[in-house]
Amino acid sequence: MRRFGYVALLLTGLLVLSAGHALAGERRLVLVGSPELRGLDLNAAEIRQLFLGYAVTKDNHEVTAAINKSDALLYEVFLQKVIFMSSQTYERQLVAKVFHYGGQLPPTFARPEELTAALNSRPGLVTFMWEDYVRQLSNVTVVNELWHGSIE
Amino acid sequence: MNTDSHRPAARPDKKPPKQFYRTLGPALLALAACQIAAPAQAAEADQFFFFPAAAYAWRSEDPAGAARKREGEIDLDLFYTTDRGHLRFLAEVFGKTGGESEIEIERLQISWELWPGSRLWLGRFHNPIGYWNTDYHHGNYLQTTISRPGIDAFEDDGGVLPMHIAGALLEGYTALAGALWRYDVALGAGPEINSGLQPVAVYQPGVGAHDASFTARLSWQPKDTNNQVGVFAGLNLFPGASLTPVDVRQQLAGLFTNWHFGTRTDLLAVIYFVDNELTSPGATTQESFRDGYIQLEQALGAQWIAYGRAEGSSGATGNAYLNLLGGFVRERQLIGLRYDLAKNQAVKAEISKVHLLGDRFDQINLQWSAVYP
Repeated sequence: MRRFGYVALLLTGLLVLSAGHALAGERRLVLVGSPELRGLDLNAAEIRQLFLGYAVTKDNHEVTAAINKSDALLYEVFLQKVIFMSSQTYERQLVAKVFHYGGQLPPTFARPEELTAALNSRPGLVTFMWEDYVRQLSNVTVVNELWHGSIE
Repeated sequence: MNTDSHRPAARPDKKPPKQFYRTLGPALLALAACQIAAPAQAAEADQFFFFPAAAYAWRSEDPAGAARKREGEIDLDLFYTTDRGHLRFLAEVFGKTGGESEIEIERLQISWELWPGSRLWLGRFHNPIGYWNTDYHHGNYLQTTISRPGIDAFEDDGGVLPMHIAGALLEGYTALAGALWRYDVALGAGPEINSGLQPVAVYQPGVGAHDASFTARLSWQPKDTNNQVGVFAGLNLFPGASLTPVDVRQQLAGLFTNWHFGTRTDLLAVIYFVDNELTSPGATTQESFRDGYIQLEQALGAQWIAYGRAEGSSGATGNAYLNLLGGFVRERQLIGLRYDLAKNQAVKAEISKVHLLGDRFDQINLQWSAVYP
């Protein structure tokens, strides 16, 4: 009985360790915006449309996207899991869209503090961030989850 | 780009220095303007692009009447757009030095946003016909390949369809049933036939005889993909100039798709059905031809793309309309490789077998292209 107890303890420990490892590796990529956009439920097609440079009108909000280039890994995961394109192809598509219809490229931010300020100063602006980073910010809200999973 | 042009008229053995400098001068001025204008992008309503390209073409034969056997060319395409409330302005100026030097205002448009996603444009614009003409315009960097398909050739490169119209264009998109629907309706003055199609020139709007051109296009982009399937149709009236006293009534229709298989494989396929009625003093003839192409692109890693394209036509041999214009690419098979040097530059190499209406030859094209900023 005591032997069974040790085995159970060992198995439980392994389970906790492996679960802990998985949780530590799991990250969530989220769409964020100013607090006024809370509850705005955008579907996958609308999110893709936004990041290809088109405005989306929903629930009386005209939503536009900003590109977050403050973290190379974040941008890479966004391209692979949300846009499904290489950075060259994606950026070529953005230029092609403006070349066709006119308008502007989505604003790109390399500094997170400037991006956060823009989210609050430009109505309807959304971008993508790691959820754990968003938790540190008081003035932005999560609009949608874009992807979650572990990063190898 | 003209290194791909097979138009018979393009056969200057020696470029007169005057013409070269006449073109180079404005190109250099435009380049300087780009440098000055670039900081102005801080104003967020403005967007500026500058597409330079340098290309070289070698042909196995110098068929009578076709372009030269070896040809180098430098291109510069300048693009500017700005928004002022619901108003949007857009301009594209293309210049090249090489076989036939030129600077031309390709697009000059102003629009009003009717509702979100929909605009009414006025001016000279690219005809929303097929896929290529409105997705790549004159920006060589944006297209994976060096050459345009023969059926989509610009008028001054021996094109047989109206690629530029001056008039009104309703353009927009709407999300419906989980898909993005794009629509275009264009109505305006098309080209005249004067040893080739001659569209309305922005700087000489009253020159030439121009009649009506009409095009409608609808495309469907399913759900959250980048795939597209579309249909288009058009009616064009081309008055003949005194040198070419033949009036043409052209009806056309077609289908296109741009389909992505995973993240690495892309397929672009287009088919055109074209009916022409030619009226010359004392005679009327009706003819039709079909033309299409299929282009396959395969990404090899992040920076390389291998591609191939097959173009073909039926009813082109002996077609009076195509003979009238000359230089039509009746068939072509090509393979090529694109290498993205950096975020904004590409080097491409292409080998092709070209079959014009009367001649066949092999061709090698090399090109460097970029987009700035």
